[in-house]
Amino acid sequence: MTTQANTDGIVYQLRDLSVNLRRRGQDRQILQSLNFEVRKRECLSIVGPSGTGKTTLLRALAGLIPVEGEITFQGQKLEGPAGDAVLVFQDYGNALLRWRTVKKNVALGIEGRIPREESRLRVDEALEIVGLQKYQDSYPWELSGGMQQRVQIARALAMKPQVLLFDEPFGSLDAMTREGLQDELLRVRSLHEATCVFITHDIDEAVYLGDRLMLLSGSPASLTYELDIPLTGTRSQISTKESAEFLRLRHQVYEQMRKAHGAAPTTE
Amino acid sequence: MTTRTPISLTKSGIRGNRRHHDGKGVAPMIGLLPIAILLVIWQFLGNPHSVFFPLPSHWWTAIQGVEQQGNLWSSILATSLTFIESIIVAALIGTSLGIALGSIRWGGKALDPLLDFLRNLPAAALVPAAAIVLGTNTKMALVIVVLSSIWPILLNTRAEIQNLSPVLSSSIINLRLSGWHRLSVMIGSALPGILLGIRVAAPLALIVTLLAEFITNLSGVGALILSAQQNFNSAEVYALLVVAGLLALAVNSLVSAIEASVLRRHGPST
Amino acid sequence: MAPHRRRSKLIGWIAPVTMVVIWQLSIVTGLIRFRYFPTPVSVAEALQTLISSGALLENTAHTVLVALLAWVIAGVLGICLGLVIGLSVPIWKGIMASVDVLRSLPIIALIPVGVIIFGFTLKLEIVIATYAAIWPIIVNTVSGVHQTRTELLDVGNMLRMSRWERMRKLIFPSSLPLILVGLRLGLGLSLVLTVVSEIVGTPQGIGYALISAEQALHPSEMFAYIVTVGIVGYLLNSIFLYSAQALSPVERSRESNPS
Repeated sequence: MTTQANTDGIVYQLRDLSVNLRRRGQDRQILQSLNFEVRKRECLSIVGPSGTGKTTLLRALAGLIPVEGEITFQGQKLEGPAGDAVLVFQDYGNALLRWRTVKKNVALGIEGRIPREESRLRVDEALEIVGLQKYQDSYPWELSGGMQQRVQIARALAMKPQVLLFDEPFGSLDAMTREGLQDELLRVRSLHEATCVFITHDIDEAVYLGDRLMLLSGSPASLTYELDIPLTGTRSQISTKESAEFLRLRHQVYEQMRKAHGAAPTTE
Repeated sequence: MTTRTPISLTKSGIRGNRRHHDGKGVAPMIGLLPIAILLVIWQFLGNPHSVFFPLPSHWWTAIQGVEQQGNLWSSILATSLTFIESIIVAALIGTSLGIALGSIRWGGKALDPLLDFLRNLPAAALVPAAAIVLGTNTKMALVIVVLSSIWPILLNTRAEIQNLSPVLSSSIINLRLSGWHRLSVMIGSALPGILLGIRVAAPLALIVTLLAEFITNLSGVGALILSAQQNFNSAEVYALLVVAGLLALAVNSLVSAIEASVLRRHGPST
Repeated sequence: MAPHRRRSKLIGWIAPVTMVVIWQLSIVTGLIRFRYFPTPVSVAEALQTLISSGALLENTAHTVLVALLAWVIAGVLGICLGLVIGLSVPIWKGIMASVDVLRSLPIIALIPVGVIIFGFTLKLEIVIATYAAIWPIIVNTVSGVHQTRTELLDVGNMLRMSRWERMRKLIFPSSLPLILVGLRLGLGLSLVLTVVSEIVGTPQGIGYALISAEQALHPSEMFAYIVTVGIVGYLLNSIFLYSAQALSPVERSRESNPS
């Protein structure tokens, strides 16, 4: 149907995607006819109030749940977990294996699949990127929350994926750690050139990290707003977040979110 | 922990207890089917003259025989009485000792090794000792059953008292409660632990009751089982196994019922 | 740290020693009077005689070996069955209620069934002890598997692990803490039921020695065996806890919680 020229530069193509999940014996529609694409090397932020189905969308992109409609991943229909897209979970405490050392956690996705020597190199490299070489022999429960989340990111990086899917990765961290990790993520991206899909309910974070932003709202949820984020230059916690452009974009998203939500106006 | 940046829509903490199979509590009744099928096959395909595996219908005949001798109901009554007396005594002593030991600061370190040793002493080994020291009578059975089933109650009560929320302890002090009043607050807050202890202790108490009767031939269901075994009356042995199973079932339902009715007033688990 | 720990160990001795002293004094002074209640001193003497005659060692070795053998059988079978039941929802639904019924049968009523089938043999001891030990292992393995976090299973899916890999790398290790609890409970039960089947029939081991001492009206000897059972149980439990902690980093991470 689509020609090669059209899929060039596009990683994900979603056509009329709907998701129904069974909860307590009842089918509930979570997502309704989503149509969008994810472009190569971009960072797409998806914002929405919690409980809207952001995580469901991400799990669909990771190929973890059955969907209606179609998801095309790198030109092919997605039917199950694609090895090239790796999900970073919010709940690091349960996504890491507490009985394995940091090093062995990072190796989880590649061990037994590539030669041992290469696997060791990749683990070292990934640990270096997130700055955890010193802790490679520690256990996850010996590290702080922020460090554990870095282990999870390293585990994803070690697999050298085309796409990194982030499910509110910093949602349960404190503000300081979160900002540190946001910058870390920007740095990792500049080194790795992977495509990112980043889910959050924090508008600041979405604008700060994204090249493009989409708003997910309603029940069942659909895409209600899309925005390019033309923030140029290196982003920094202070100057970027205080720039007029950033504030304008943030304002715009917030307005849209409020509209979609029908919430009472807030003084901001 | 969850400090928020200015604009955020909701507070989302760590996503809570998502587990592999959500909401699995009680196993569905359909799971009894394997036992039912086994019994049916046994009945229709088993060897009717087997000494080792008598047909289920023969169990029924055997238990009717025991009933006609007039031993069945009196034995069940004797076993139940010993059991009920013991569990009440164990609950009373266990709760009071648990509260006492839980309130003493130095209690833990000094007493843990001894308690650990005592509760690991197998009740079975104590039965002959009790029989030789106290003689074969219901008092002996009571002592043994209490001695072996008191530990879960004692230890759980103690743990609950030790973990009394600081807020509650300070409000006890704050409100200047004293004497009985204070004790009743403590019992109230230790209630979930006491009930948990009783739930663990009850099946144990039943088993030890049967064991004491079995080993010392003290009248009760355990003694019936012993005599059936000594007479090599295998149908009767199987039948009494079913009786013992039903007793265990009754004990479990009784404990659950008590627990439910008490906890209804107490509110959902703390 | 170290001196503090040593002191707390010393404190732990106060209560048992006090208890033994009170026991001794109350019999010597005639405070309690039972015909066959031995003093701790005479129990210690009996223990000494039994040790030097070799009888104690022989009986203990028999009981411990049987208990361990039964425990190993129960462990292997129980973990396998537990994994199968835990991993498959249809199997769980179809069988778990039966498991609950079988495990709540008072084990003591099962012994005569065993006696009828096996007679007073070594087999009886092993079967009874295995039967008693297997249930907590099965039940804990099942709940261990059921408590595996969805996140962890998602990780396995995402990494496209095979069924076997998921089992070996994710589900089994994450269930291990609960499986260990089951194994520990099973070990205790295995020892107790070995002793019980010796008391009621099998003519070997601590249980048999104990009941023989009772029938021969040698209370001090009988109490010596009771003390032995207690010590053996305590030791097996401690060895198990210690090795679990030494082998598994996760066990080390939790507060050791002996209940």
